[in-house]
Amino acid sequence: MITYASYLRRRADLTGSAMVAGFANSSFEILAGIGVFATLGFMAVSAGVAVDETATDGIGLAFVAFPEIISNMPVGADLFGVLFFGSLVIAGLSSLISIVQVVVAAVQDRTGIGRIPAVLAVGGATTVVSIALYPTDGGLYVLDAADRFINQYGIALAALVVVVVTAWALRLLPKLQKHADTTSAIGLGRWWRITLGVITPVVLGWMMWDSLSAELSANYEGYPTGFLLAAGWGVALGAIAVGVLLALIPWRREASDSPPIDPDVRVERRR
Amino acid sequence: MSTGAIVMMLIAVTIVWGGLIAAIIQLRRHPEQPETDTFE
Repeated sequence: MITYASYLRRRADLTGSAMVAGFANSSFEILAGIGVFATLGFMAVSAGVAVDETATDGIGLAFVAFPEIISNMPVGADLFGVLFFGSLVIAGLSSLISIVQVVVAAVQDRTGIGRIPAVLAVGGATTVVSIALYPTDGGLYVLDAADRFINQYGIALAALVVVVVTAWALRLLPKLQKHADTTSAIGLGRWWRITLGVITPVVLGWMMWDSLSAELSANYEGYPTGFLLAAGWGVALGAIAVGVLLALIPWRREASDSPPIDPDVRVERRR
Repeated sequence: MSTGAIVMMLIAVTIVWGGLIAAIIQLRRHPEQPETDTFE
């Protein structure tokens, strides 16, 4: 999202775009939640078991539970199956673009190479790793552990650190608020500083504590400790370590040829 | 589903879907200004 946001024009309506992006994401998740739990509930009732026994996670849901329910549809099962997996492919591809673009943009900025060489290098490297790891017998477990740990301790932890450093160490929120207000139709108020400075760190911190204590009390999914250290913690901590190392490399490409917007100089506020 | 769960779902749907509609209307009423990029 940060990489996508960096492609906005200089005077883009940040607050309005952020509102639409956030609400659209949550709206589709509620819609998906209704669909998923209606399906799981139907399966649980027809199999005579509790809802939590039908499917456990994303993989089981997408590749076991949903194919089963689609193949049991009285009419249009074939069409619906094509639509479902077609949507899944599009969702996967669009997520892939947004994830790989972060790395491609970083490589371009840090090395100064062009877009096509950067895409080939990053795409090639990730292809090699994917082909080496994922088609093997243990591929699904590597994916499961790496996915879980990179989400919990790579992304959520990074978000927690970013929000604490921005809000409390550097105390940048009033300045950022001023920047956003300069170009946005919706004005940010004290509520924004409170949500970002207090509620978000508390919620993320609690999530971190909750999943860490679960991690330390029992091995995730009962995987062996050595495997979790390599495929789970290794991936998450490795991502943080590589991130810190990359941050030490100076930028080769000019970040922007335009001066930053200074809200104190010209306030051309839109209503 | 318990009554509490249904009420919570309705509240969440109202806030989030209503918020999406309101945010889209708000953004449409204030279209991006064409980029002039006059630096001062």
